Amino acid sequence: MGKRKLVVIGNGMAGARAVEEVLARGGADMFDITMFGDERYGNYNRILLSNVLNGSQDPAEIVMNPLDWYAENGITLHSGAPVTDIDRAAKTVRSSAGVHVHYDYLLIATGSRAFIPPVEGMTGPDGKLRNGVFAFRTLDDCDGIIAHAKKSTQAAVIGGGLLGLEAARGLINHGCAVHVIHIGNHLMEQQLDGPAGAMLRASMEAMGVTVHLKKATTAVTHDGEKITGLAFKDGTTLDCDMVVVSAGIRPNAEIGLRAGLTVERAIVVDDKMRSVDDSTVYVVGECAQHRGRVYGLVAPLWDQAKVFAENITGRNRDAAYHGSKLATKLKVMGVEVAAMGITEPVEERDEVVQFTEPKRGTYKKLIVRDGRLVGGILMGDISKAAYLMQAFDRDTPLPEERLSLLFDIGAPAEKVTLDEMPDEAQVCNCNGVTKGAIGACVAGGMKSALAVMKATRGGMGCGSCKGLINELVEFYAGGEVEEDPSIHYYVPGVPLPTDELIDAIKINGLKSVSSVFKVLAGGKEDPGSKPGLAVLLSMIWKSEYEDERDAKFINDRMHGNIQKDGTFSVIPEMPGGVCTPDELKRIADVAVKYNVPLVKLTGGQRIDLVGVPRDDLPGVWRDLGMPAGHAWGKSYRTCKSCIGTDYCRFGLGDSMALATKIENRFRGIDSPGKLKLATAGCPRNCSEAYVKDIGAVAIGDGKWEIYIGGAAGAHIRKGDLLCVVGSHDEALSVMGRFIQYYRETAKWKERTYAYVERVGMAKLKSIVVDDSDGIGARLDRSLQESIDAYVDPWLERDAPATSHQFSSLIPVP
Amino acid sequence: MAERYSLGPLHLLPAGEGRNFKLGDRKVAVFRTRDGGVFATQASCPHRAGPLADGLLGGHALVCPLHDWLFDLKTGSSLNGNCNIKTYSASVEPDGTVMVELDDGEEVMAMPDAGTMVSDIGTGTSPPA
Repeated sequence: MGKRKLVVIGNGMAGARAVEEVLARGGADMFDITMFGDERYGNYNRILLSNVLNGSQDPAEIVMNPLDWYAENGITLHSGAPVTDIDRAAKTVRSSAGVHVHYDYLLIATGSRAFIPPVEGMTGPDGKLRNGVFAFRTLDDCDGIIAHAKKSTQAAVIGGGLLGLEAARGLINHGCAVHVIHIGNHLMEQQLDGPAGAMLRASMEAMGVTVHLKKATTAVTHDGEKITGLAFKDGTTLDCDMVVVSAGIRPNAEIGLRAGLTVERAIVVDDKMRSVDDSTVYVVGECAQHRGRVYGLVAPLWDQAKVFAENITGRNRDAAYHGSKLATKLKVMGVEVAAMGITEPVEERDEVVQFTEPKRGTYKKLIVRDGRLVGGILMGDISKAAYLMQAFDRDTPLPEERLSLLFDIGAPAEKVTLDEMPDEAQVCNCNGVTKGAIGACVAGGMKSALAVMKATRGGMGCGSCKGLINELVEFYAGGEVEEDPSIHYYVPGVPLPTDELIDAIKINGLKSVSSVFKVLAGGKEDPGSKPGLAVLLSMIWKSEYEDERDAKFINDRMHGNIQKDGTFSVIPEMPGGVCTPDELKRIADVAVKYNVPLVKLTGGQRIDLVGVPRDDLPGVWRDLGMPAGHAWGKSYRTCKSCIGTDYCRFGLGDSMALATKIENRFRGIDSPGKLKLATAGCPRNCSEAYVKDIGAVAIGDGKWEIYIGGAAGAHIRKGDLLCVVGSHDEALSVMGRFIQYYRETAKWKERTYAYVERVGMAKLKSIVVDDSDGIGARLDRSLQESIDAYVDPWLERDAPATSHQFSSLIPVP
Repeated sequence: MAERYSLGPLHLLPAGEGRNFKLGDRKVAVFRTRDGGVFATQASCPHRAGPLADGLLGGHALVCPLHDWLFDLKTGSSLNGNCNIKTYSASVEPDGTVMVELDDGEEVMAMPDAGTMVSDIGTGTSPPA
């Protein structure tokens, strides 16, 4: 089959980025790509327009994809002529220049345009902006403003939001007096509260910008040729000879409307960034409306472009966009600002932590809800921004000591701070580049900040993190600390994190551990990585998995736990710690018959026959006549239970029955780490369900609390409450979904207590309980397939998997 | 004095695994690597007498199943800074028969109190640092 035709309408940051993401996934071999752009240029970084305006950067410097780039990548670019029509029935688009192109897939990335308020005199008789009135959105706008500013004496900027202030800042450099006209009560209401806005205003006025608040512009006055001033609702006027309008943006969604797509504030898309009306039409960027939200910042766009590319290239058809939490770091008039979430407390329980030092222009305010950050403003000193933005984005619990949220008390040298910064800390928020990614780049041989920025795209968004990236590159390249990138991998021997490894295994159809090493690790077998790969492959392929026994740790070849003398322990299944008298007798008979040296109760409420030589294993298993208890591997292990409702006078729920159902369902399911479970019939927690990988605690009325991430081994941790369910079946269902998500996303040997902290409960709840990613049904199905593929390994007593599997010593004649 | 033993056909050794053979009065671990090589070593780890034949192989590197001591099957030398193990000459005849030749060299004796007890590969959990 030939290549499919991908047509992209829009050649701005969204369109070009989306195409880059497609190319990065081998899209050049899958698609003929045609792009249409309204502007005459290749793609440039619109965020940096303010630098062009203030003269600190040339237009050429902000170009991200020069015209050569399109040619090099085989992309047909039609620039300077917007698409005017989409014919969805014929699957064609037509541009104003008459170009007519067929598509198989269409991407709409038309972005947004400046909003021009309907003010008298703003536009001329031709409906275009009057001479001397400018929007601030494109390179052409920028050129016009610069040319006009040179002969201007007094300029007015309508709009005191971020862009308006940047325009004002740029205009100052061109020598005219600058006034900012703002309709609101304080500057930058989207990001700042009143006090911060007031401090910003003071900084701006110190630089010579006059700020007018609560002013609604009613007319642009002119003499027919030139602008003469502005008139306001309160009757006052202002003389000026040029006007820059920065009163917000409006999505360019009309093209969608004309094509018959659902358009509300923008073109409505699903979680795959497809139009809800047409599965061959994708929409990303500012012209897309996702779950009721339209974004005007760049960070959400990067995520959307990725989701689009994953889906359209088939790399991951489950990829979904869930919306973005907005946090921004910016520099206004030389004042550094970081802002995230809400700007004022909303609920009674919201706690405000605040520090103000007006003399130095420092302002810090955080809004904390239930121990989590829901809003924050940092101004002047934004040294804590990286940490706080991460806490905000991931919804991680904050330290009890709120002071440390605002200040690094007694923090010594900067090096220490870099050192202590976690690898997953986001350095570049625009492009989602972590400290770890920068480290990996340097470790991979890139020693210059520029090379690292090119490779990771870090610093290529708003550029505010370039300084930090420079420091980090220096830190990695020059310092003694060298990061081992393998900490991000599923197993150290294959350089891919879990999700990418799963994708690579599926794409390449790798069904055995040896083939994974051959294809994904350059043929180098790492013995320590083999068991982890075996578990992952069996999870992915189920009964199709090619079981190479040498990939497994000896416990998983012998189906028992190896002891210090090379013998094994035999633990039969015993759901909830319950067995029949008959089974108990059989266990005793076996212990006698085979001279088992030790019979021991385990911590998991089972009976352990310890010290069985491998030669006796088949006979022991046969004589026991009980299924394997899986007490040896990285898998579902056991489910403890208290006595529940049958006899206990406190019992609220039937914990023994639930434990039995759990064991019967999840027996032998392998996973990145051990899974030890427990059910408790009441919150007295006799079975210690609070400190299990998964625990269920009855709370009455048939309800069960489900806890995950508990531990009481070398590491002790109380589990986090995942949800409350109303029946045994629901408990099994939510546990199963969590187990499957853990199987698919944890690193090898990452126990749930570490995993839960790394991934975060908010995310786990939304995926497992709310099914926010829409992958719940798939997870359930995949786990069910693993359950269906389960075979009791002790049946190998009659059919050994390998030659001399159970021989401790082979005689030679 | 060297003595050669015939262990039977190669396919009786599963790829990537080891088995213990009784050769004369010695117990010898014999391995078949995934690339088709056959190697023979002393059966017990010098550390705490772990069953080397049960170890995981990566190429011709061998990991003892008890505490992750790491050896090179070709030379017997330690790959993680511990002591070496005794190796024996092993080969495959043109007809596929595995041959091992014993010599009188001493096996490296167990040193029960030496070394660390860490198992990062198997089921053991390393104690928190």
